[in-house]
Amino acid sequence: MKNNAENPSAKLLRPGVKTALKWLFFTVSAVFMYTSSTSGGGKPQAMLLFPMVCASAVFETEIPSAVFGAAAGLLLDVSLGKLPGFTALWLCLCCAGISALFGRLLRKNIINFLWVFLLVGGIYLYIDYYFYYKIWAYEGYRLVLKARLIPSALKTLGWALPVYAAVYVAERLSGTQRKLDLEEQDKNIDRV
Amino acid sequence: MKEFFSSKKFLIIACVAAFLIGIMIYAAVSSSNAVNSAIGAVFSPIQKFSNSISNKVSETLDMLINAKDYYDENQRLKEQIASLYAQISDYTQLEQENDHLREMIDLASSSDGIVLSEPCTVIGRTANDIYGSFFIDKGSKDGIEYYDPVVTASGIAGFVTEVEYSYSMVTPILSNEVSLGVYCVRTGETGVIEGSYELALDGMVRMVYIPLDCEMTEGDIVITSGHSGLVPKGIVVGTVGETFIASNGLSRTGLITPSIDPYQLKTVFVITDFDGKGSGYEE
Repeated sequence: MKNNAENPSAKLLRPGVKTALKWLFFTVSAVFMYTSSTSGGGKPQAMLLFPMVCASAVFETEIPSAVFGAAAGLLLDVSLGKLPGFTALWLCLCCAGISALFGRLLRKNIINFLWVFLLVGGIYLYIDYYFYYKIWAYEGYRLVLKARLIPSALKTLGWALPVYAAVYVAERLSGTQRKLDLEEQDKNIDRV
Repeated sequence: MKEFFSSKKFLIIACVAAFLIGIMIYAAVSSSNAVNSAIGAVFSPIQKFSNSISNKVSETLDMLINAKDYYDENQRLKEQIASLYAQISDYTQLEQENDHLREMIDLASSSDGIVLSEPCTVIGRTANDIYGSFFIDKGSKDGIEYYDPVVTASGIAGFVTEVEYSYSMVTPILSNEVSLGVYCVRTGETGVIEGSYELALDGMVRMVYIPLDCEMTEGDIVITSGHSGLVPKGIVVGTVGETFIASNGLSRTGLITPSIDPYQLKTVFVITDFDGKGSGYEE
């Protein structure tokens, strides 16, 4: 009773329900991001699913991150008209990697998220450009980079911070415990 | 990190990755795949709904933002109407000429045997595609097949390049993957239209292999020749713009503005069958 009186919201929802609600939020957001990317006109679109899965991988463990990355990747493949599995494979591996990296080596903060996201996004941008345009060397293929891929990547980068913030808030509200970083967990390190 | 690579987690992730590689290989070697069909079946209604909302919001914003432009356009159109009234006396003569041209190119007979699908709604667009590829809400269950031509009353919009059970993807004629035999209605000169990234940004295609002594001029209309067996004869493709001598010096090249802007499409029809379908030398 005392605990409840001190923190009435603590037992408002069970942890399992909170986790389910969090994943429901992620799923609904992913569907919304997918449909919004296919509803626009002829202008370059931001690929919001990309920062979404990377941000969730920062806070989640490896397997959920990899599965969510694969599912979002398949949606991106359909919306971008790519070979199914092309983006999914990349996001599956990257999300698992991001999750492992943030669980073991990196602090969970926005700066680390941004540079990891830039790295993952930058490599994907080049792979996409190389396999879908450069390798075929169609006339004027470089224009695609200038007119579509880079503007789209910049828009996506612009949305990365709000998406990270949304994912961060969802993680906090779901009551997920923030894991201490590696050196903080290590009992062998003496602290003054 | 070492423990991670030897853990069960890593094994599961490797299995997921292997599954995705399997999907990629399956999708690459087969014309249709279960993944796209499943995703399409689930998301088609949602896409349709979100697209209609997006269109409404765009139209409303467009009205608010471009009110001045519309006012100017209205004034210009009023002047144009006045000018058209002045030309009305020539209509009878133009009608006769039009009938004559129709007889000449036998458009009427070429329309025989065309089977159109039910109206197809544009439910979404391929994100970031420079050509403006789009999805329609009819698929293999509605009798749509690969390379079926997609048209509107204004002319040809493109070809079906991906067919799933409940939806299809259409690649517009702006694409560099599309080549189409055409000829000029007025002069009868033939050529082939093809797209490129550069021209697609300006919403144009080029017509190649035009004879050096061609008489085509700006504003002439080009229509499909029907030789390929992929598309019926006599469907409007677009209007001729500038023409110039090709780099090899053996023929001329013309810039064609397609009669259809893929980004403005909301409803299209698919020609599911026509006389001479598949009878051409191209497949």
